[in-house]
Amino acid sequence: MNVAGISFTSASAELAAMVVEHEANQAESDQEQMEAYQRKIEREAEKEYRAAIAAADAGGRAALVGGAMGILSSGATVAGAYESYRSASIQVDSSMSLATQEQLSGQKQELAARAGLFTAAGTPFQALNPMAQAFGGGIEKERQQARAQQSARTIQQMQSEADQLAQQARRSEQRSDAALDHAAKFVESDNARANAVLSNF
Amino acid sequence: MTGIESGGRSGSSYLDLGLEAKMLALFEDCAATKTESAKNEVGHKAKELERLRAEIDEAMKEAAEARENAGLWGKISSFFGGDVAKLAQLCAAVAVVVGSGGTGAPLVLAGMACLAAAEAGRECGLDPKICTALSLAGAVLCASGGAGVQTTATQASSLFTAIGGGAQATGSAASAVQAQWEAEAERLDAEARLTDAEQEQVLVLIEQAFQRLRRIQSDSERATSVTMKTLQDQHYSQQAVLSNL
Repeated sequence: MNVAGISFTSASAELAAMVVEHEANQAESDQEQMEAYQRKIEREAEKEYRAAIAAADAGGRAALVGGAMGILSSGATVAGAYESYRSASIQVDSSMSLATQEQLSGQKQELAARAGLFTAAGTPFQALNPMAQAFGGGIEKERQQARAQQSARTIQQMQSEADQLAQQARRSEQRSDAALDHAAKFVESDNARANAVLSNF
Repeated sequence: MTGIESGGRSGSSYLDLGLEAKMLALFEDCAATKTESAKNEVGHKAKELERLRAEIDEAMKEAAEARENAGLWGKISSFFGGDVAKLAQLCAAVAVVVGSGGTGAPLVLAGMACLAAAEAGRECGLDPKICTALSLAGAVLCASGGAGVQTTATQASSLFTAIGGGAQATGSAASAVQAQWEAEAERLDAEARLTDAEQEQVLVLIEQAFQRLRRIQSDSERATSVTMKTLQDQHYSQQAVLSNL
């Protein structure tokens, strides 16, 4: 009759020792699992961090693309307005010679056409801005944000499982303590019996 | 026990003790070493915890500053890209209407309505294609309304359009800067969350070290009580043997 290399003279003490050993093993196994969970949580937190940083970077890129498109669009508007201003500044008077009048009118038309061209050129930049932002980082940002959220959910789940394991480990330790107390009582009663035998010897 | 508490006794000093007392002393020695180690661990982890808390505080403070900056740039963007640009567009439209002597007013007003509808549609999440079509229609109508307008009015309209464009460009640039600050705030938030996770791990380790300390204490108490009881029993049995001799 031996448990963990120790031989017991009383069957009840042996039983108690077996319970203690079993619960101690259980507590150890729970502890190991908990440590494994902690390592997993650590890795998942690292993943969440990387995804969040990548999302922030992608968001920054998308904003830069959006800003650049906005500036191009507004720049085209300003350029168009400038050409329009220049066109309006050209005065064609009937007192001028016919050749001059034709030349100035030609310039005026040319500038007006250029103004229209610039204004028209600015419109696609404005229209395509949301799409450019999406391809420039908006989609990537959403993808990375989803990954970060997934990691956060996994962490929460693992934390709850680790808590359950910790509770199990505590219960195992409590049972092990109770079994130890029982074992001590059995040993005491064995001793008391031996003493009684000796005193009546 | 003084020797044990101060780091353990040498094996030779147990020679004068009985078997059970020797075992108890050895157990106490071992418990004292474990206690010392657990206490050191708690102390070390407490310092680490303090460092991590300071890091979290710092990251959160920086994130709040980044958000403040983002808010400021957001206001600048909204002022230039919204208020100033709209006012300039309105002035440009008024200049065209005045310049045309009222004849271009219906076209310009229709154009302005189309532009306003496109903007409102964008904010309400309307299909971007429809918004673009409305913008284009607005631009064409405004331009048509401006046809045949007096030179001075065209100049004024162009000037206001240029001001509006410049304001919009400034607004776009400010919006990009605002987004950069927001991204920085998100990065700092992520760092704070990671440090918070590290802090949780350290807290778990501290809790484990405390559990070990409690366990060592309870084991030590139990071992002392069992040894005392065993010694007492031995004493009784020896007395019993002696009295029956």
